Formats: sequence, structure tokens, C-alpha cells
Amino acid sequence: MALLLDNHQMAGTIETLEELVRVLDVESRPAGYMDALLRLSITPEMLAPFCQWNTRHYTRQCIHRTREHELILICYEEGQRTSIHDYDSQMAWIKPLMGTVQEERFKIATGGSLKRHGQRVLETGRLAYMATKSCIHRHSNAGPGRAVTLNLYARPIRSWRVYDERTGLASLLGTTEAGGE
Amino acid sequence: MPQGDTNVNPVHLDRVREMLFASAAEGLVLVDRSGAIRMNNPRLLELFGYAEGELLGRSIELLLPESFRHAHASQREGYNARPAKRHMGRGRELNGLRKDGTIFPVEVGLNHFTVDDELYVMALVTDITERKSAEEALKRNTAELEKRVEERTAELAKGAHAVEIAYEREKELHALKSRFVSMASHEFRTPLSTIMGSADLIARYTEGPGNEKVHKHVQRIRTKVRDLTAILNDFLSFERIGQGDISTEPEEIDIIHLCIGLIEELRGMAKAGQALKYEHTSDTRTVVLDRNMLVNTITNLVTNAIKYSPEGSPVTLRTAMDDGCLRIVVIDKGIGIPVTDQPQLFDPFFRAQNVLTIQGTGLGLHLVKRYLDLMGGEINYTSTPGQGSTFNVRIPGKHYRT
Repeated sequence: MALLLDNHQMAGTIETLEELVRVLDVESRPAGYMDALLRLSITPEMLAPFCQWNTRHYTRQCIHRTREHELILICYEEGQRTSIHDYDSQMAWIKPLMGTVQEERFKIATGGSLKRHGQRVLETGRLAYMATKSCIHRHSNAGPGRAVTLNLYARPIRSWRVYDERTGLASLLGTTEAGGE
Repeated sequence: MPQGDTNVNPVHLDRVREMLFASAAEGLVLVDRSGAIRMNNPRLLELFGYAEGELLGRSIELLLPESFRHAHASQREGYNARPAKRHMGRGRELNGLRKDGTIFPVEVGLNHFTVDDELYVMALVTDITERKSAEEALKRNTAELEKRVEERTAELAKGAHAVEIAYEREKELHALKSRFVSMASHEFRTPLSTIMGSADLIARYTEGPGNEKVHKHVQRIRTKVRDLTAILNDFLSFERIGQGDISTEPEEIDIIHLCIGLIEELRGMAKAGQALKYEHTSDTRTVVLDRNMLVNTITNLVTNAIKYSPEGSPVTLRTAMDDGCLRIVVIDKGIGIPVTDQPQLFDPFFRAQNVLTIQGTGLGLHLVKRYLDLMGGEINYTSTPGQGSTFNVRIPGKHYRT
């Protein structure tokens, strides 16, 4: 399931990552997570100290983690993207803080091939929700210039599986599954 | 204490004294104050080549080489003035003169006694020709040995100097090589990074149908750039470790994020249909270790697993914190390692027989072993040719937290 949520005005805008972390630690329900992320409005200047850039690949910075959730800042140079992957976390919220990100969804078709079955564009400030269990997907920097997303996972990720996009096939531990890069 | 029997026939005792005198192994000669020989034993005659009675009444100087006679006469006068039991010629070499004119080395002990106010001096003469010969031989051998030692010492000194020069030259060459490897690695890596970035952008800008040939060639460029970068990195690491130009800088590391980042980086190396899977299987996920060494260790193991597995064959990376240690497991279902090659697997530049057609430096596992040594870790593996390999790494973490 994937939802794209409108940013809405509400009292108590969160303007720093430190403030967001304090709120998340108090509010551990999914609705609370969503509310906190919707209230987040951070300027590029406030964000800059947390960003790390690499011309070879996108970067992942862990901003905060508890047993219940973890907050990851992902920085994409122009043209960079994640692998086609899935992981074991149950829920994820993705909020672009800079630039535009494209999300592609994949599913395993009959015969084990990997088929793209959906995509959406996440603009700066929009919040996307993803029920991530067994959700094969990829995020790419869709625009010119850099892009930064803030991803909140509940619970923290413990496993990560990368698929091969070239053939659309991937064998996992003896089980034939569809795949991409 | 009972008294002994003193009633012995004096004639019998005289005969005993004569026998003692006659059978002594050393030459005995008795001279009076004037130096005239008054008595001698057969052994003395034998030593000096004279007949019985031939020496009696003759001067003791007769038995000395000509060059010693004058001095001996005055020394004898001195001895008569202060007679004492002693060795003669202490610190000097004494020689005797045979009747036939030959000279031989002797040792002389002196004693004296007085009978009816008349002083007599008795000399005990020992022929030391054999001992002298042995001493001379020993001196010659010692001299020879010292000469040889001197020669060998000189040779060694010369050799050591040559070695020192060669060592200095080797150091210079090694430093030159290191500078070259370091410079080349850095200078090559920058343009390679640009090439890779441009290839990524070409791939990105030509997405969609109709560009399959472009993608094929872009992928080929990416693969070769990665191979070359990996080779440069291996050489650079090998050089640094070899020079001891490496130190551990432990820092707190979230192992899950580290591994996800590595898997995301290494995915580009994967072959068609080759999936990469990462799992962390313990609650604890933070370890304090040197990040660079840990990254190099995992990267090398996963890279090997990808490289030596066929298309469609999965690679799994597992981590866990266990009893204060980080455990890393890398599993592939690739070509495996021939049993005969396994003992040399961690040797530098060693390549197994079944991978000679696959590009590689033979440094990867050696570097892994060296990094693990520096971190106090250990590695073992199981491998079955044709079925795959599993590498197990254990690294003690200084401390960790959940």
C-alpha cells in the first residue's frame, strides 16, 4: 500500500531535525510518526550540516534510532538512485526535503520475472507512506540538481535484498525470484 | 703411634738410592760450587749423547749452547751465593747442547744441598722437544686461524658494506615504487571516477526502449572501470600495509547501515540475475572498529563472492554481534576453491587454478587477512568446488551497545 499525503498547516511546525527526533521519541504510534513528519518544514540551511555527498553513489546517514524506529537522511547527487530492493521493515515514510524523487514499484510476475507496476513522483515537502514488507521498489533523483529525502522506518531495517534489473531475474537462496539492480 | 722398623741394612739403602738415581725418567746432574759435574744419571747421558763417565769433572756449561755459556757461569755464581729450590730460566727458553752439536729445548729444576760444608747443586733436566713441537704447532694453528678469521672478517665487512649499499638502493627503489603506486593510484582514480559518473549519467539519460546497445556498452564501461579501480585500490592497500603506513582508528559503527551502504555500492558488480542479500541477526548492531578496515574486509569478501559466482547465483552477507564480537558471514554458490589451493588462499598474489581466466590481482584475501590481523580478528571458510564457499569472520569489538 502506498499513500501520498498532502502537507497541511497545523500548529507547531517542526523546523529542525533535533526537534523532530524529540517528538518521534515521545510519539511512537504510526499516526504520530505521520503527524510529526507532516509538521516538519526544514530549510536547506538547517539541513546542510547533516548531508553527505558522494559522486559515486547516494549516501545514507542515520540521524536517530531506537528499537521502534530509525530516521535516515538520504542524499542523491544528480542521476543517482537506489538499487531495486526490499527490506524487512514494516512501515516507511519518505519525505523529500530537497529536490524531486521518483519512486518505482516492482512485483514478481509469473515465471519469476520482475515487472514494474507503478511509479510516482515525490516533490519537496510531500510525504509518502509505504507498507514496506516485501515491497520491491527503487528511488531515483528525478530532477536536475541534488535531492535529499528523510526516511522514517518502523521498525529499524535489519535485512536488505538487492535485485538484478538487467535480466529482471534474481535467484535468492535457491528460490527463483524476479529482480533488478 | 707405633714406631716403624729402622733396622734396615745401610748397604741395601745405598742400592735403593742408586736405583732411584739410575732409573729416573729425567736427566739428573750434580755439580759442585765451581760448576764441575760430579755425578749424572744414565738418562742425562742419553739426553746429551755422552758415554758413561765422559762428563765427570767437566764443566756444566759444556751442556749449554755456546751463546749461553758466559751468562750461565755468572748466573751460577749468583745461585751459589743465594741457593734456592726453583725452576731455572723462568720466563726464558732454555736449550741443551748435545755432544753432536744439536740443540734441544729443556726444562731445568734446581735444588741444592751441602755436604761437609761443600755446596752441591742438582739439576733435573727434562727434554721438552715434543711439548715444544706441540706448542709450535698450536701457535701455527692459532696464527692460521687468526689469519683466517681476519680474512673472513674482512670479507664479511666487505659483504656487509655491499649489503648496506644494496639495502639502501632497495630502500630507495621501494620508496620510489611506493610513491609511484600511490601517485598512479590517486591520479588514475580521479579520472576513473569521472568516467564512471559520466557513464552513469549516459545510462540515466538514455533510459527507455531502443537504447539497448548503448546500455550494453555503458555497462561494459562501468564494469571495466570498477575492475580497474579495484585493482588500484588493492595495490594501494597492499603498499600501505607493507609499509606499515596504516593505523587503526576505532569508531562507533552501525553495522547494518554500513552493510546496506556496501551492498548498494557493490550491486553494480553483480552479474545478471545475481541477487545480493543482507541480514543482521542480533539485537546489538553497533560495534567500535576501524571503519576503513571493516569496509575493506567486507568489500573484498562480497566482491569475491560476486566475481566467482555465475549469473543467477545469489550472494548473502550476514552479520551479528555475538559475545562482544562482530561476526560476518559471506555465502556464495559459486565455483568454490580447489582443495589443493586452499592452503595458499591467503598468500599475496595467489590465484586458485580455477580462477585464472577471471580478472583479479590475488591480493583480496591476503588484504582481508592482514586487516583482520590488525583488528585482532580471524577468518575461516568452508568451500566445495562447484558448490560454493562460506567465509566466516570474527572480530572482537572493543565495546558495543544496542
